[in-house]
Amino acid sequence: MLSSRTELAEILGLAPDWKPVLDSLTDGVSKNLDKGAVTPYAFFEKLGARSIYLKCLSLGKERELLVRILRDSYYQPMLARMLSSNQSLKRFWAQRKHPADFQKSQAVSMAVELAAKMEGVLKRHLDGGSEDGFKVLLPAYVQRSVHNAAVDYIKEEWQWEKETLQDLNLDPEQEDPRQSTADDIKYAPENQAISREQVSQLNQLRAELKEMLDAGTTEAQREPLVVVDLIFGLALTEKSKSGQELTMREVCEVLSIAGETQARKIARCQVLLDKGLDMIRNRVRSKLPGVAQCWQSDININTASRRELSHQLGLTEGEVDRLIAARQYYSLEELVERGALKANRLDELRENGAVASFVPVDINVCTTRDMIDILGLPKELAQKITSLRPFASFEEMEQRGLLDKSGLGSLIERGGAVRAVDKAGEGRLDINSAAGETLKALGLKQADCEKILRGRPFTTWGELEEYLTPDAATWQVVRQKTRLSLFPY
Amino acid sequence: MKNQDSNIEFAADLGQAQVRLSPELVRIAQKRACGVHMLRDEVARLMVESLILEMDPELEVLLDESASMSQSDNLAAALGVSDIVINGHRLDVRALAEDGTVSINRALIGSQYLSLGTIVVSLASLSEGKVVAFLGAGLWMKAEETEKAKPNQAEARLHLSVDCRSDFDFAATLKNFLAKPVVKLPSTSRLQDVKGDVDLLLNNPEKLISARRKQIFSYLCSNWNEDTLSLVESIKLAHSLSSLDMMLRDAARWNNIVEKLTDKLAAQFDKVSRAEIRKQVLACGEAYGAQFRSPAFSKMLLTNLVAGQAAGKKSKLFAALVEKIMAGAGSLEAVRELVLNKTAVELAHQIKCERNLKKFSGFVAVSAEEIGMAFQKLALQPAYATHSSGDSGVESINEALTLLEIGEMAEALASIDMVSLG
Repeated sequence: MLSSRTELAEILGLAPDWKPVLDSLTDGVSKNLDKGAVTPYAFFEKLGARSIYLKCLSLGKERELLVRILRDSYYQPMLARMLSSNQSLKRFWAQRKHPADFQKSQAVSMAVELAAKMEGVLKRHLDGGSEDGFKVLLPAYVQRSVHNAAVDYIKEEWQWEKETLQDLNLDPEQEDPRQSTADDIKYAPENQAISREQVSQLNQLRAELKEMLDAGTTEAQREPLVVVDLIFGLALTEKSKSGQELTMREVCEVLSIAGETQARKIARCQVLLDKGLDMIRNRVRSKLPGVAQCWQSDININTASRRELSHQLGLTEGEVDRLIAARQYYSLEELVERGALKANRLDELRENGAVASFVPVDINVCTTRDMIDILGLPKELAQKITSLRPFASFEEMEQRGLLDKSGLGSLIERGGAVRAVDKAGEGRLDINSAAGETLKALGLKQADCEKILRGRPFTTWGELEEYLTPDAATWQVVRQKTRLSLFPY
Repeated sequence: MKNQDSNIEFAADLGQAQVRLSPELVRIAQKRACGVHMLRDEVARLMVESLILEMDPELEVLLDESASMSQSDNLAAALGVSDIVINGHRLDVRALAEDGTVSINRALIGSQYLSLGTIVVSLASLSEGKVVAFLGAGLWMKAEETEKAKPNQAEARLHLSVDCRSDFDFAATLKNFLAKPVVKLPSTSRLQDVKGDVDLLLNNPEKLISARRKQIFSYLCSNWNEDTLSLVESIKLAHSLSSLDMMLRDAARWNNIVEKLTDKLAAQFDKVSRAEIRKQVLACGEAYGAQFRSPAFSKMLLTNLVAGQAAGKKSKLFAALVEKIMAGAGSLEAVRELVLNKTAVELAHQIKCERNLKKFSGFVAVSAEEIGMAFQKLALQPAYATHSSGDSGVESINEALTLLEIGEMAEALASIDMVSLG
C-alpha cells in the first residue's frame, strides 16, 4: 500500500500545478504542529470539487490513476466518516444491540463499497465530458448518496430479518438471528416474562393507581388517569376492559372527548395521556423506589444465549455451563442454591441487568437451540423432535418413544409445553405474518398493505395506528379482521 | 442531477418544502421515541434532514450528524432535544401540534442550543410533512418572559402559537440563516460535579430550580463533543417514559392474567371466595413471577386453593396428592398410591360415583347405607367392616373420599393450565 507521502507525490506528479496549494497547506500545518501531516483528503478538500474535476477532464491516460486515488483517498475517508456518524444506521444497529466494533467495521465496509460506486459515477461523467460532473465530487452529493445507501441497507436487513427468523432448525453453534433483531421484539407479549420482583411491584402499583383514581375528586383530576387506564387496558375504571388496549381514536369515542375534527380530538387525548403518564411517573418515583431497577434489567437468565451470559452478564465459562445445565430458575437466588454461582457474584449479576423469569417453551414452535439450551435435551433428540413435530400432547411424545415418563417430567419442570391453539382470534388474520395479497383481500388499500409489510412487527394496536395513520374505514377493517400475534412465532 | 435510487419522494418542489419519509425510517424513529412529543419531533427532524439532503449539492449545505445533540437518547427523552447541525449552525426542529402551537422544554430556552431558533414542521402523517415556519430564538425568550407573569409557569414545557404561512420558502430562509454568523452566547464554563448535575437534570429535574436547569444544559451545549455525549449516555435514565410504558403494559398483562385465572378458578372452587382466590394468585405471582403455566406456580396455587376448599379438613397428604396429580397421575390412581387401606379407596370411589350420579357434592361424611351399597356394588363381603376395629374403617373411607374429591378438583385445575389465557 502507498504511504500518504508517496500518494501526495503521486498526485503532484499528475498535477504539478497544484503544488502551491499543497505548500500553503503544509505551511499551515507546520505552524500548527500538533495537527499532524497533510493528508491527501485534506489536500483534495482544499482544492475543491471543480478544480479536481477539471484536472481529471484534462488528463489523458493518467486519468484512471487520479480517479483511483480519489476513490481511495477522497471518497473512502469521507464516506467512512459520514456513514459512521449516520444516525439512522446507528439507531438501527443500536436497536439490535450490535457492539461498537461491529458498527465501525460495517460502516467501513459500506464505505469501501460505496466509494467504488461513486468512482463509477465519476467515470461516467468524465467519459461523457459533462460540464456539471464536478457535483459528484461535492460533499453534499456524497452526503445524499450516504443517506440513500443507509436507507437501502436498512431495508435489506429488515427483509433479511423477516425471512431468517422463520428458520427454526438452528445448530447450537450457529449465531441465533433473534439476538440480532430489534430490541422491542422481545417485548412482544408472548415473549415477555414478568419476574417475581416485577410482579410485586405491579401489585403495589395497582394499589397506588387505585388510590390515585379514588383521590381524584374532580373530573379534571381523574380524566388523565382514565385515559391511561383505557389506553393500556388496566381495567381500573368501569369503561376499561382487562387486557383490551385501546387506541387514541377509540379512547376519544369512549370518553366522548370534544373537538372540531378527529385530529383535534386525538391531540387532546394525547395531551391527557401525557399528563396522566406524568402523574403516574411522579407517583412511581416517590412511592415505588425499586421500580426503575426492575424494569431496567432485561436479560433473562432462563433464555439468554451463551454469548449474552458471558459478554453482557460477565459470567465465566464454567458458570455459564452450570447455569444452563440447571435451567429454569424462578429467582436469581436459586442460582446460588443450585450451586451454579457463588453468593458473592449475585450482586454483580443483578447490576448487569440479570433477571430470572420462567418462560414456557412450546415444543411445537421453539427452535432446536432452545430445546437444547433451555430444556436441556440432548442435541440428537432435539433434532428428532423438530423433525417429528407438531405434537398434540406430551402423551403423544411418550407414545412415539421420544421420552419416557421421567424424561417428560423433567421436561415439564424445565418449562416444556405443548400449547393448545389459541381459540380467541383464530379466524383472524395475523397482521405480523400475513402475506401482502391476503391483507389486500381484506379490503385494505395497496399503499397501506405495503406500509404494514415494511413496518412490521407491531407489538400494540396503538403503535400500528400511530405508524399507519389510517382513515376510520381502514382502521375498522384492521381491528375487526386482523390480530396482532406474537413475533417471531 | 439526481441520485438514481432516491428514497425521498417529492410531492412539490423544494421551495414548498414538502417531504415524504420512507416507512423504515419512520419505524426506526417510532422505536426510538419514548413519548408522543418526542416521536413527532423526531419525525419532523428526519423530514428536515431529508429536505436538506435533497438540495442542490452546489449550495454546499452539509449536515453534521456527529455534532447534533439529538443523537443522545437521554437528552432527547428527558429534555426533548431535537436539533440538526448545518454547516456549523445548530437549529432546533419541532413538529406543529394540532392546536397550532409548538412546545419546548423550558431548560433549553436561552442556551446556545436555541441561539438560531426553531424550524417548524407541520405533519400530515408520520411519514409526510411540510416545513411551515421558522421561529427565531427571541420569540422563545419573549414568550418565556410573558409566561412568567402567569400562574401556571410550573409546567416543564413552554407552548408558543405559530403563525404558519402556506407559501413559506424553506430554501430561501435556510440560506438566509446560514449566511448569519454564529453568535456565541454567554454560557456556564464549569460545573462542580458534571455527572451528578446532569444526572439530576435528567432524572430529577423537579429538584432543581429553573435557572439551575438552564445552567446545566447550557454547560452541555457549550461543551458538546464526543466525551460529553458518552458522559450523558452513561447515565441511566431511571424513570423514562419508555420504562413507564413497559411497566404499564406489564401491569395490564398481569392484571389480565389475574382476572382471567380468578374467573376460571372461582367456577371450580365454590367454597373459596373470589377475593381469596385473587389474593392467592397475586401471592403466587410474587413468589414465582407471572408465568401461571410454570409448574411451581400452578403447584403452589393449587395446593393453597385446595386447602381453602377443604376448609378445616386439611390433611398432611394434600401436598403429596397435588404433586402426583401435577405430575400427570389420575386422581384415583394418586389416592390409591397414598392411602394404605386399598379397600377403603375402592369403597370411597364407588360412593363418589354414586354421589356424582345424584349430583351430590361437597364433603359429607359417609353414611352406613352408602357403605352398604358400595359393598354390594363391589360384591364384597362386609367382613371388612365387621373385622376392623371401631370406627377406623369408616374413617379410612371418609379420608379416601375427601382425597378423591380434592383429586378431582386438582385434575380439573391442571387442565385449566393448558387453556390459553393470552
